[in-house]
Formats: sequence, C-alpha cells, structure tokens
Amino acid sequence: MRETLRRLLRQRKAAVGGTLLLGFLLVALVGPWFVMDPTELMGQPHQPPSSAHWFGTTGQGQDVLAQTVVGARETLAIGFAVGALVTLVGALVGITAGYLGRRVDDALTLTTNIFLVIPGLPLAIVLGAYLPSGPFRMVVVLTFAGWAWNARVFRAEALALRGRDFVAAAVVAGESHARIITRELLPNMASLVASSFIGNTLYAVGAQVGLEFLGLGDVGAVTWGTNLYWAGNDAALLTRSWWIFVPTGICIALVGFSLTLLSSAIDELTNPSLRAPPKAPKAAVVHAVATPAQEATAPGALLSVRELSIEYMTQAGPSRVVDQVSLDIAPGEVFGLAGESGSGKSTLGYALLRLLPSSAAITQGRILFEGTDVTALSPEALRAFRWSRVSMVFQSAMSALNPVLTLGEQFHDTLAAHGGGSRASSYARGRELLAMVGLKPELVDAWPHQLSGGMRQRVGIALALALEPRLVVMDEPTTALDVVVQKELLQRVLELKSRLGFAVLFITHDLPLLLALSDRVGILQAGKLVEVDTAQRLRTDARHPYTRLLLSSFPHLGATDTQAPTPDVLEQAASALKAPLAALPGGRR
Amino acid sequence: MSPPLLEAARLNRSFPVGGFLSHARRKVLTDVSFSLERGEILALVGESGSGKSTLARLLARLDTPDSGDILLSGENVLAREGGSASLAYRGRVQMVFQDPFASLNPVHTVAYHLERSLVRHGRARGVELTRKVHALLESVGLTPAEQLAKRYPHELSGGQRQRVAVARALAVEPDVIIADEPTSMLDVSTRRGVLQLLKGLTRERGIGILFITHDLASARHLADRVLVLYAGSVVETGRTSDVLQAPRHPYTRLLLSAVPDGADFLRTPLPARVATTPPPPLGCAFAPRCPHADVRCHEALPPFHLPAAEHHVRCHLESSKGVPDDAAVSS
Ligand SMILES: Nc1ncnc2c1ncn2[C@@H]1O[C@H](COP(=O)(O)OP(=O)(O)O)[C@@H](O)[C@H]1O
Ligand code: SF4
Ligand SMILES: [Mg+2]
Repeated sequence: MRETLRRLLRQRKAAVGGTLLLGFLLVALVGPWFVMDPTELMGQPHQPPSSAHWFGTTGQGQDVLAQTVVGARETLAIGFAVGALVTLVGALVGITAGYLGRRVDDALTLTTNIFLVIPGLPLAIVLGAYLPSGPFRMVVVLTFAGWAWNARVFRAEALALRGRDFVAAAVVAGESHARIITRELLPNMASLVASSFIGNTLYAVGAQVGLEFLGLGDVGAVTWGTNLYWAGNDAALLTRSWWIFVPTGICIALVGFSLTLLSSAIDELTNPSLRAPPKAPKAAVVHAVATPAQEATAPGALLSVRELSIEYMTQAGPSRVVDQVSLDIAPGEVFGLAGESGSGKSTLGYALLRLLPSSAAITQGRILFEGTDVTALSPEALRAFRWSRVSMVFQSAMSALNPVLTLGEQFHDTLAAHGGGSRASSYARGRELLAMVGLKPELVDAWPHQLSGGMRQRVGIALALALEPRLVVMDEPTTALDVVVQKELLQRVLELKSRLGFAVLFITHDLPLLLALSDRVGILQAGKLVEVDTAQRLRTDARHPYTRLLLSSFPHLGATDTQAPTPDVLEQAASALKAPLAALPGGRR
Repeated sequence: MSPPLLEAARLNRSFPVGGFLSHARRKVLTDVSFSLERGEILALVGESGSGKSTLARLLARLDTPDSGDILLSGENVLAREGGSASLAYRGRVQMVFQDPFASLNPVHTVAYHLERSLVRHGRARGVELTRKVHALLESVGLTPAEQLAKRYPHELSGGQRQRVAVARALAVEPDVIIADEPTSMLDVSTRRGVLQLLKGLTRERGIGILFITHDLASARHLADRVLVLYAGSVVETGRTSDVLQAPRHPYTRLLLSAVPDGADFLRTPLPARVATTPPPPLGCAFAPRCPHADVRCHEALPPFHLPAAEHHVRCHLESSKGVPDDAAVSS
C-alpha cells in the first residue's frame, strides 16, 4: 500500500493533479475567513477588477472574489460527498449482484438497468421537489441519478473476481458472504474504487454546476453553479462583465482538469500496459571473443550458438536471463532444452528467430545458422530467413493462430509472405500439410476455435513446416495437452522429422519426456547451460548436481516394477520408429 | 464396521450448454461413487475435461450435484444441509487448489489467511493465534515462521505458496483434504516436497486425502488406491498396485502407455484410436476409441466387474470374462 502511494506520488500527472486539487481544498477550507461576505452588497454593481474588489463586483454589487472562494466550499463538499456516495452505493450493489449471482443478480441488475434507461436526472429533480431545499437535496438527487452506472462497472469486476480461486478458498475456509465481499473482493478493487471515486466526483461537480446554473439548485446558496446562474440573470454577458463568470469558470475547469489527471494517473499505475515500456539495454553486441568463424562453428553443425547472452530491461535494471550459452545442433537432430520456469528456455528459443520482445536484447555472442550470423541480419534478410530456414511452434497454438482467419488463409498468408503463388496453390499446399500432420484436409476451411487443443498444435506444426525449414523450434508445444494427446503428437513429429530431415530444438520442463524424445539434451539453470550430453548418457550418468536433482524430481511409473504395464504393446514396438539419428558428441561445460 | 470417512454415492452433475432459453445440458459426472477412509490417499486420475475438478468442487461443497449423496462419517450431509455447507462441514473437509498463485488473496498476508481459518473455526484466539500460526507454518516446512507469516503471497515462490495453502487447510484440523492437482503448477524441483508433505499428513494425523492428478507416476508413489475417471464416469478403481501394474480397463492401459517414462515410451504405439467424436450417450463412453469395442459396447453400459478384491472395472471384456486377459489387450 505504501509502495503504491509512493509510486503514485512519483508520477508527474498525479503530482500536478494532486497539488492542484489540494490547493482548491485548502482554499475551500480556510479561504472563506479571509474574504468579504459573499452575499453582502459591498460596492457598486458591474465594477471591473480594482484594488477594492480584486475580481470586480457582481451585477448587484457583491464581491466576485468572495463568491468564488466561498463557492468552492459547498461545490467541492457536495462533489466529494456525491463522489463517495455514488461509489459506495454502486460498489455495494454491483459487488453483491456479481458475487451472489443468480436471483439476487437478476433483481439487482434489472433495477440497475431501469435506472440506466430512465432519464435519472429529471426524475431526481422532480423527486427532489419533495425534499427540503439545500445541499442535502443536491447530494440525494445526484446520488440517485448516478449510482447505476457504477453498479454495472463493479458488477463486471466482481464477476471476474468471483471465479478466482481465492474466493472459492475463502468459502471453503468458512467465511461468510458479507466478509468475502468486504474483505476479499473489495480490497482487490482498490484501484477501481479510487478511479471510480475520482470519476464520480468529476460527474458530481459537473452535474451540480449544470443544475444550479439552470436555477434548479438552491439559488440562495453560494456555489460555483449559483454564481454562474446569477451572472446569467444579471446579464453579465450583455454588459460584457466578463469578470463575473470567468473566475468561477476557470476554477471549474481546473478542478475538472486535476481530477482527470488523477484518474488517468491511477489507470496507468494499475494497468502497466499503459505505461511507457522500459528501454531495452543497449545492444552493445560484444562479438564473442575474437574467434574466427570457422573455429566457432562445429564442423557439420546446422546451428551454432556461441557465448550468447540476453538481457531483459526490468524496473530494477537489466537482468541477464541467458548467460553465455553455447550449443550446436546437427542437421536432423532433436536437441532438447530442459529447465524450470524462468530459466531462460523460451528466451533462448525466441532469440534463434530474433523474435525477442522489445525489452530484451542480445548483449553478447552470436547465432550462426549454416554459417550466417543471425544476430547481424538486416530486417529484410531476417524476414526472408525466418520461417523459411527456422520456424517455431508455440506453447499456446491459439496465440500463434489468427482467430478470425480460416486455416487455409493462414497457410496462404505464410506462403505468400515468402513469395508463394496463388491462393489456390496455397490451399492445395495447406491440405497437403494438414494431411501430413494427421488432420483431415477439409479442415483448411475451418476456424481455429473449431479445433481441440491437440488439433491446434498439429496445425501449428503444419504451419511451421510450410516452408520446409531446416530447424523447428518447439517451445513447450505439449505442456497444455493431455499425456495421450501429447504422445500422439510427438510420435507424429518424430515420424515427420525422419521423413523430411529437419532438426528440432525442443523446449520443455519435462525431463523424462525430453530424454525419450531427444538425441541430445541441454540443461539450463538460471540462464546457464550447466550440462549437455546425449539423452542416453544423461539418463544413466548425469554429472551436474542440478541435472541429478531434476532427474530425481520426477517419480517413475515402473522403475521397480517387475511387470511392465502393457507388455504386449511393448512387443509391437520393435519396428515402430527409426532409431534416433547418431548424435553429435555431447560436450560438457 | 464403522462407515467410511467420506463417501460419494452416485453423484451426477450436468451443466447447461447453449445459450439463453436453451434447455440442453451436458453431463459432466455420471453416477460417480467412491469412498475414502481415514489416513488414506485416494488418487483420482483422468484427462482434462474428464470431470475431476467438478467432482472436487462438489465434495468441497462449492457446487451442488444434480443428484446423489455425500456422506461424511456415514451422515448424509446434502440431505441435511442442502446447498450451502455448514461450518461444521467446512471444519472437517478442506480443499487445496491447483494454482497457488490464484488461491491466496494478493492483498492479505500469509498470517491473515491462517488466522482467519483458525478464528472462524474456533481453533485459536487471542495470544494463542500468533503461536498457532507459527506452528502451522513450521509444520509445513516454512521457516523462519515469524518472517514468512508477515509476507504477502507475491513475496513467496510457487512451492512456498502451495505450502501456505496446505497450512491453511490444516488450520481447521480437517479430517479430509481434497487436493486438486496440487503440484501441476509447480516446478519439478518443488513438487516432491509438497507431495511428501501430503503423504506425511495422512500418516501422522490420519487425514484422508483425495489426490486429484493427471500424473500417474505421482499417483503411483503417493496413493493407496486409484480411481480412473473417463468422460465423467469411473471406469476402474482399486488398490494402486492393482490398477497401475495390472490395469484391466483399456482406457487405463492407454493412459499408462502415454506416461513419459523410460527411453522407449515414444516407440510404443498408443493402444487406442484418436478421439474424434464426443462420448456417445449410450453404451460405453470409451467405445469410439477402444480397439476392442464390439457391438455390446455400443449398446449397453458395461456393469462393474471385480477381477480381484476391491478392484472394480467397468468393461464388457472384463465382465464377460470368457475372453482371456492377453487377448483382451492385443489389438
Ligand atoms: N460451470 C461450468 N459450466 C459449464 N461447463 C462446465 C462447468 N464446469 C466444468 N464444466 C465442463 O465440465 C467438464 C469437466 O471439467 P472439469 O471438472 O474441470 O475437468 P477436469 O478437472 O478433469 O479437467 C469440462 O468439459 C468443462 O468444460
Ligand atoms: S466396454 Fe467395450 S468399448 Fe468400453 S472399454 Fe470395454 S471393450 Fe472397450
Ligand atoms: Mg481440473
């Protein structure tokens, strides 16, 4: 909480808005003691600013300065009172409806909607006629007319939070509904409460001034609205007595301005995506210690990564997530990259296609693909290189597929971007690719949302293979899938690999899976490649303690079993798949 | 003989599908029955969408079944309490959620979460409270407790958070803990600790745990018995050693053959067809994928069969028993 406040203050918008508003509050609070009586006739009417009356006098002879200063008090008091009340009523109704749901929600939502469609303000004014005139009436009228919109906002937020596990956990802990609403949900809406309060105050000041200007308020009171009302009545415009309405007008505008600044500052604070992103670290590419290229590349390697370091710019400064990683991948090889969350696996994978987000930069080393330095490619060369030489399959296929295009269109997009032919030929190729990954060719006309998770990942693979790349980077493509679907998919990948001869960089946290799938495996720990070896050797004699820890973390299904789960199935296996490619010698570092 | 600690009897749950004014419903759980004994770990396995979490929510009384009974120590709680659970039920049945990043409220400290459970169930109050909170944290291996108690959830790692979630469940001194995939969101190096913790609880305090997982390997290491769910129905249940080492149901075999374990796991073909259609309303739900399906399977729901003591299998192949075991498996 204190941290939030400090960040709020550091923000320029918040500082300017807050200071301005504080100034007005101070004036409203103590100002009236320092000025003349705003209702007394202190001088001649329609006098321009002078030393006796700094802001001049009104059409009847009152002091304009006094009216402006005293007017601030009731105007702001009503503004903040209504702001608070509207927020409170709206939040309680909205959260109750959203949290309790069903019949309570139906009833409250219906009420809210009725309030939204009826012209609330005129109705409130009519009803207000039965109340004694004064600031209290204004507060009631404005609250009555304004709460419904807020209730909707808070209901939506409550609906979103209601499904969260911490609410379910509180129910299981035995908490009451009232307590869940006030202690679990409401504190999580602190920023919404704050920005609603500011927004509602803005509404209240505006509506109040409007009503009073029209003479619908208490014309005997001194507020900014009644100041304007009297200015109009006293023909301030006709007599060109600008000083009567300009000070009040400027005050209203400044209060509005400060509230707007504050609310936008709160929005930015709570929604980091609105903030300007931190600058990426300077790509001072220190080309790895001047080693000649022919030495850097292992003979026959398809890809050689040399001393690669990648840094993210964070709020706390640069953070190195890939730390001097070197590895080689041979043509047709499956290289597995294992590591826990945050170890830098995906960052490394994305870097191979230069697909890093803007806050990340390669600060050292190089990526040599068939002898070309990928880190030094020009934008055009990069566009030609990506996907046709190295492509990628993502963890979430849905994020890789465009939800508003049919699969055929997506194949066409990919093929056309690399100088492919007509739409018809793209569709034909799309059918071929779908069949290749074991899907029905007719699915070219399907939309992504019509497919199951496993089918989408197959489409992702088909797209990755569309341009016959030499290397496919697969970033946890099966993590979201069930084991059965995962196995189907991986068997298909291995079969395609042996048919088409591409190499695979397979990224996952699942070490047992990686050991079964890969020719060689690298273990990444906190950005460092701690061990690289053939899958076979890692399984039996891993050297690095971290590798051993990882290996021992996975419980085995049948390590000690004398009876295998499905003996007959194992027998059929013999001819199933080609033996894995002879691996490159595993280096250890 | 005393009744089981927790018993589910023919639980059914369906959800409305289709939009406004549509009366269509999709069946998510069909006649699910099982029992859980004191000090026992029962693993509930099945693929995603098979209804595991739905069942967990029913037992935690976050949701109410369309029909069926829940018996706690033999007492029919739904008949007595209806839709909203009593505090007494909450005091005996607790739940640990899958995602420890979601199940703790980001605005409250670790201590707050534990204190609320303690206070709400009258397990401690006043000066006792802080001491109890620290003791709880220590019992789940979170030390130094004084320091950790003051932290907010975002200041903890995933494994630490899940331990807090377990401590919160323990605070009410429950008899049953329902753990819905408690380790699937955790890094592998922290998983084992949480599993060990759960196992210790059953041994030391006699708590019964329903351990929901899609990871058969951890089920094997943790559970005394296993319940296999397919498309909302129990297809096989029995002692862990029976179900995982001598599986009888074709779906259990399929699941086992897909566990990434051993160098050869990708070289063995899957003993099933790829799922293309939703489970049929009639007959065996697995029939469209089953390599052994015959005409009976499409017509009638197979009855439960007991190949061994406490081992139940719902498959025509088993119940007809005319077919020898090996013939049943080879396709
Ligand atoms: N509140 C709900 N409304 C509609 N469908 C639901 C609801 N909750 C679960 N389902 C559906 O029920 C099925 C089983 O879900 P779930 O119990 O979460 O399975 P699991 O935990 O085994 O993955 C899924 O198809 C899911 O979409
Ligand atoms: S009942 Fe028939 S379809 Fe179902 S699992 Fe058994 S053999 Fe297969
Ligand atoms: Mg689930």
